[in-house]
Amino acid sequence: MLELQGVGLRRGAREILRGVDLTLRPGEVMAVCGPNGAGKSTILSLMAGDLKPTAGSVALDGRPLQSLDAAGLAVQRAVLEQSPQVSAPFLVEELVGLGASCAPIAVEDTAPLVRQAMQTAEVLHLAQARTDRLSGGEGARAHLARVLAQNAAGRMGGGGKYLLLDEPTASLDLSHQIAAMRCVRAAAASGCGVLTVLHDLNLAAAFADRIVLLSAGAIVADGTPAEVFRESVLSEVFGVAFHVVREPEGNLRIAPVYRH
Amino acid sequence: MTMASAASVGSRNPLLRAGLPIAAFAVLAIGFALAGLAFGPVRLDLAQILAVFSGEADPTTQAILTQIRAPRVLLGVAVGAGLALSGVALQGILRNPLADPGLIGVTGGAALGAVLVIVLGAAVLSNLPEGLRPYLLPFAAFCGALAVTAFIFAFARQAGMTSVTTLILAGVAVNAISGAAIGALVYISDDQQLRDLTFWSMGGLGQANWTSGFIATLCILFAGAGLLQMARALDLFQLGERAAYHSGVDVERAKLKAAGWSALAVGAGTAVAGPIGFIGLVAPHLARLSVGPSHKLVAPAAALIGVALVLAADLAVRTAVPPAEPPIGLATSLIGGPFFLWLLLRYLRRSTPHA
Amino acid sequence: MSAISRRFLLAGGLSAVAVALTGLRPAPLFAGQAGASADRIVSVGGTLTEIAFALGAGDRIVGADTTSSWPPEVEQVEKVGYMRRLSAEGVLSLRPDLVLLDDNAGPATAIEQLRAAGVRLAIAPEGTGLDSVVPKIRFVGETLGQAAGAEALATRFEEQMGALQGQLAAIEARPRVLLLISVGRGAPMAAGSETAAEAIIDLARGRNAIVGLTGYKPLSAEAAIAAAPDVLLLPQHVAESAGGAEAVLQRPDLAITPAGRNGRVVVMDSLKLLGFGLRTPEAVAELARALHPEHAASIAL
Repeated sequence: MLELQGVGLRRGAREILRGVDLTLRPGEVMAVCGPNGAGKSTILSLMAGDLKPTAGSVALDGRPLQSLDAAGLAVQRAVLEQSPQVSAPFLVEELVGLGASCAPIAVEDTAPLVRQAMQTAEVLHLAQARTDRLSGGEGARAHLARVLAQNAAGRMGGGGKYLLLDEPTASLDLSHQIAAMRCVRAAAASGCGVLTVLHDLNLAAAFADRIVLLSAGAIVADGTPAEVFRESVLSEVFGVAFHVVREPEGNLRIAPVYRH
Repeated sequence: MTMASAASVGSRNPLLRAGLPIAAFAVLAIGFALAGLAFGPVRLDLAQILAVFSGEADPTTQAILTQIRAPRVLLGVAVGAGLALSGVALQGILRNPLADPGLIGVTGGAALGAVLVIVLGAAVLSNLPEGLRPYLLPFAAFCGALAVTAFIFAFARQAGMTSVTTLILAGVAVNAISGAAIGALVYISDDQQLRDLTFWSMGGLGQANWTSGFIATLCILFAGAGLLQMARALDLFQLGERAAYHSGVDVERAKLKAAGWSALAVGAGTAVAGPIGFIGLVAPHLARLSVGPSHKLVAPAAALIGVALVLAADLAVRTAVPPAEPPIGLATSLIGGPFFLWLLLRYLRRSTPHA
Repeated sequence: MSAISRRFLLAGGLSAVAVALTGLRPAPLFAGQAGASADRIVSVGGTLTEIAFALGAGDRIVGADTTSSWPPEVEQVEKVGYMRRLSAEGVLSLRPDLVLLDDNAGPATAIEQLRAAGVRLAIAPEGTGLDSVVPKIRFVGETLGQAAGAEALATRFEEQMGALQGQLAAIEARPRVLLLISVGRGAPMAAGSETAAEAIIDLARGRNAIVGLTGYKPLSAEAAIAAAPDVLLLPQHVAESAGGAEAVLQRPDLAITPAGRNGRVVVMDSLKLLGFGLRTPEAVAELARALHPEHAASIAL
């Protein structure tokens, strides 16, 4: 379990997060939603170990996060940043290979693992393409493949328990958004706990087991999509009126009400 | 799809792809090392050189090969590899293609140490035993390199984080300060010290003897091994510091290691051979152009290129206007600079987007 | 006179030391014999080269450093670079059997390498001033096996200097002399105390206009005016690179000094003026005549 207990974060006089209790469990997909500046990425950074809380504590499987070094953490969890970059013209295959190098696995296991990750993220046909010549969406998928490879390698090395993704669908077209979320579900199905920051509430409702709704640095709702995505709650958090409809297939459809 | 997937496995293995250029650079480096032994202002034929190995050569030939050329080639190998590897590490860590050992103060610090000895060292020198005197200048240059680099890193490190921007700015400022200190020393120096200074600042392998060569080689061997081990960390640094941390790199330690090993490698080289410009900047670029961005390949390729460049430049200055010997910096910058520009231009034309 | 005879005694002692020193070197030979056998000499140090040529060894000199520029024949000789930046192999490529070295020659590594190659090295006694000339003449003479010729040269040098000092002793006036060692875009570089320039100005019964600066230092416009030189002294190469002595004298900072107002500027051969050697008496005489035109007729070598 990846746990935030009573976590708060201050920067100078500004309180960015306060009193956050949150536990990411193996096998679940947790979507963190909320308006800009609510603290979504901050929660992800705290769980990743980038930031140290100014109050409360973060623990990975019962151990304080600070007690793990970077290499140890990389085996346990993989992180996809919001706008991943690479400043050297690696081939996609090499980039994904970097992800696989994060855990000590046998050399002969690396190639199949890298290949699998590229296939899952739909970049296998780009294996020999240079990363500096990819389109925005292709680049995003290549980095997703890298993170999936890190996760898979971690699992092989006795970890790979958590995936932390910051808006993995941001620059993807519709079909790739869905493909990316299927990757997320597949990871969860194999026992991995996934936390993903999402702006798209419909995507969150369709693929997440659990929604955490943030507003102004605090959790305002935490539960299944149906529990959290209620019109009154959403209107209050986002300041916009919403219609929430359950479709015949069982999915929630969440639509803001536009007034001109 | 099947073609692409077939291609992705093995057939275009980056190791194989890079094997050829690396082998070529190795041949080049070895070739220049042999040429460095075989050619010089004194013409030696093959029979004479072979006689040295069988111990039948006359004392002059013996001395030229064993006391002059061989330690010189050794120092050239060490300096070339050291400059190139630290260039690779610093460009990688700072994600800045313009980074070179000069940027983090190694060269400026070494120069400050050397100038201190040249201008003010007379008093200290007279108290030193005769045998140690020639080593005061390299020792001071080495200490200067380490001290200035340490200062710049300590300055840029705030609350446990080293900011790359602060590092680069602090490097510029501290280099300016040490430049001013050198200026002050130049002001109080006499004519002869001034000429010593000028020549020192242009570098040269002429000071090589076995002792200085071995000490420098040992330092650079240690540092080089340390830098080579950083290949994976350097690759991950290309994702940015945060992602590098997510991928298991202890970012702060990696920065300190890169700086420390670089200061050791370049400090040791600069101490003996003076500042040799341009190699630390160019060798990594040439390496990347030929073997791609993976540091596992860039590092050895750059080291071999650095060795070849330094030995070639040294051979050029030794044989250009015998019996005099111009400083090596003239060759590295005058020939290497335009060559690098040409290469850059060619590369830019080829990779222009939308072309 | 007594000074000269004391020097004679000293010379005997010096040559004994020289013989003892050469005796300690790897190839033990008497200085005289070794000198006679030296057919290919590399000379490092302007004064040493000048002396070797004056002793008639010019045709045996196969290499010299860049500070060796007199006599004109030295231009025909291969140049081994600046004396503090010798390349051992460069020197060896001239296949010398003797290398004459100024005591400032270097770097130490190159000297060691030359020694390791079995070349006979002869290192001159220390010093660069007037007092170093005679010991250097004797040193070169001993090393080349031409002690008698050297002694004649040394005696002539001392007699010339002695005669000059006698002639100049009567002169009371000590004009203030400003020597500029470079005139470029920035402040000109002037000779302060403890320079060869000041020494030669003193010998010629002048007075260095610059007081309170040691070595060669940039001179601000106001300092130049405050120095109030009566005469501006320029080495030839400085005058040439600045576009002529008149051009220097017309610089605003110099034009209003006594030297500028009276148009008094002296240009002299750079090495003769600043490098103490065989031509120093000539230099002193030339400078003294220029500084004291009213006594010019009575100053001669």
